[in-house]
Amino acid sequence: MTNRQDCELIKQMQGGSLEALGVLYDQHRRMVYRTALIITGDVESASDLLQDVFLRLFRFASNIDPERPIEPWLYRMTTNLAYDWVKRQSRWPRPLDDLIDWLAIPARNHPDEAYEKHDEWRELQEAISSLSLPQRVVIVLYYLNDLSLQEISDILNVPVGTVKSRLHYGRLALRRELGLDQKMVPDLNYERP
Amino acid sequence: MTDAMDGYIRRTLKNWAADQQPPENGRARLLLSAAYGSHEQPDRKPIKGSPEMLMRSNLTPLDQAMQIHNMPWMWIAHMALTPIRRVT
Repeated sequence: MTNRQDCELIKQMQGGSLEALGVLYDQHRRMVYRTALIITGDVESASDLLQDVFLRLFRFASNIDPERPIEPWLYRMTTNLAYDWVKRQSRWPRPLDDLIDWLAIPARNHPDEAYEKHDEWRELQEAISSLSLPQRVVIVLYYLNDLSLQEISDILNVPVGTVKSRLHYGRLALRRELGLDQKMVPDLNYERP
Repeated sequence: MTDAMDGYIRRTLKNWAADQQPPENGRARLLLSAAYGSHEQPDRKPIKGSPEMLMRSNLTPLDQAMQIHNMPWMWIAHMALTPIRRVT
């Protein structure tokens, strides 16, 4: 999907087109869902946030500049809503346990690979959950969504130096939590292209 | 910070993310909500045949009170809190 096509779709959506909303949803839903899921650690909440983000896109379409890329707006809305959700939660471990149980399901089909992936993921998820919320958001945007420091700065509306600082301390915390000072980083041989 | 660690975090996150799929019914749910909610927008034309017309309640206040009383938790609370009277 090019920015030109997004631009046309946003203009149609500003005229009330539900079809245009559906196409934009199809194009960007995975990115929004995965970002929300990793920040919240809760499948149900990520699904609700996905709905909320695109409903807001539709309702506030008139405030969106069609000539600008839609992704930063979606990232901003997703992180803001996920931020609010996490802050409302008094406890992190319960949704984390739900997610881990849910992730264990594919192990029935591909025992070895799924178990190994599950183990890797569980370790990283626990480490990510130990980060402060601002650090967690930066880590997700940087590593999962491959955004640059400048892009993250624009999305979160904070200086680039702040993004660098959060990334740096987030990495240090992850390194400590994962025990990477003591052991070798495993070589993952099941990476998807 | 090592490149190896960067690579490890990135690969693990991306491998995991590749397996995560949004709910199947998400699109339909979104469009239904958008169509329903669009009536609240003063600057947008109403959509004909929207779910709002189908979902609008014609219940009287008495019907609504009965609906609340028909909820199972209400019955359980009612039975639990009602004192048992002697009949003899």
